[in-house]
Amino acid sequence: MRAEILKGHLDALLLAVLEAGDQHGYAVIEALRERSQGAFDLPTGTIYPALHRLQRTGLLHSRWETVGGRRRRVYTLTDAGQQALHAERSGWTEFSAAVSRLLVRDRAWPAIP
Amino acid sequence: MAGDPLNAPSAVASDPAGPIAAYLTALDAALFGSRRARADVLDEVHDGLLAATDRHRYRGATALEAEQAALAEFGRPELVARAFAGELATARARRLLVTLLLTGPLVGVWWLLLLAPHRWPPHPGQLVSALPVLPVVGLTVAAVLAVLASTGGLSRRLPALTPRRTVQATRVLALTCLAVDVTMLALLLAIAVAGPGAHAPALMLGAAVGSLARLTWVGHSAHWCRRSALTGCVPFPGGATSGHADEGSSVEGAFVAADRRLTGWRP
Repeated sequence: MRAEILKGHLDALLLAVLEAGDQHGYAVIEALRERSQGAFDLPTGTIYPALHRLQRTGLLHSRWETVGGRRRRVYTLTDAGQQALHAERSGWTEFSAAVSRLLVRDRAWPAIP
Repeated sequence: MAGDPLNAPSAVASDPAGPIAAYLTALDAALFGSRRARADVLDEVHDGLLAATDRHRYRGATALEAEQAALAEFGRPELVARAFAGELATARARRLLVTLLLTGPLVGVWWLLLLAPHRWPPHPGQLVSALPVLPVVGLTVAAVLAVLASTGGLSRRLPALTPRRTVQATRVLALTCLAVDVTMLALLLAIAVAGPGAHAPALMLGAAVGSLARLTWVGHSAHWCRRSALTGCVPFPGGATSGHADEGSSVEGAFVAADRRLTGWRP
């Protein structure tokens, strides 16, 4: 996967991972890696700032917990984050369908549910 | 073997002389931000490193292999610090702007009590005549609010400011506040020389102390903004959601690393 393609969608991907429930930073990053089957394998340390930025812009909320004697920051999707994810998802569905109609040959594009 | 350790307390004790501690020391040295912000970043990265180590041990690595794999997975401390630079600078700039907003009335009330016309409510022209910096203060407050909105919850609806622009705007606003306080202090000096006894000494003292305290603090903050810009206030992995894109940014650096052209840092 070309890096410049991924960077335009990182925020939406992080929001999508947190849609399933609250997660700490490393769990978010690991879920991103596993759910993409290793396609999105960014240096872990560089993803944390993206989480902080999403929090600053109100799409995520975070709280500190103490786990095993150490501090752990846990992220939650806010209502605004949920709305943003919904908008990103709609936009992506339209965009990918349009691109596929042009790029994919000899294969009918599956109906969008 | 126990269940997936991702959300469990770490079984790994952090060795103060081990490679993770060395990594965190190197990261701390490379981070640029307030002590508290750095401590939060270090705590979060530390927790992540231990979780990653647990994960690698769960998959069968030895303790040393697991730590080294976790460190390689996180990327070099310089790369991580660079990825954090934009966010830390933006957070600090926002705190500075909020403080400017909050201290404005605390200092301004002394000047109003000292110099505002006796008849209340005064005619706007009289008020501006008594406090000539008022239009500048009004514009500055509007600009501060705009920067806060563009870097906060409203950034999705407004043109988003990059970290570099945020720091630059904050510096300009801090210098404007500095100029306002210097102007008011010069005015106070002129009043004291021209007509001693015309104004209450307590009010004059309060206004002078308030403006001098803010001058010192704002001067320090403006200096921080300059240092921040000079040392490379750069953004971070961003995306279409935020609209963040910056000239000469670290975005490419971070994602080039994703392509594994930058190798992982080795302890």
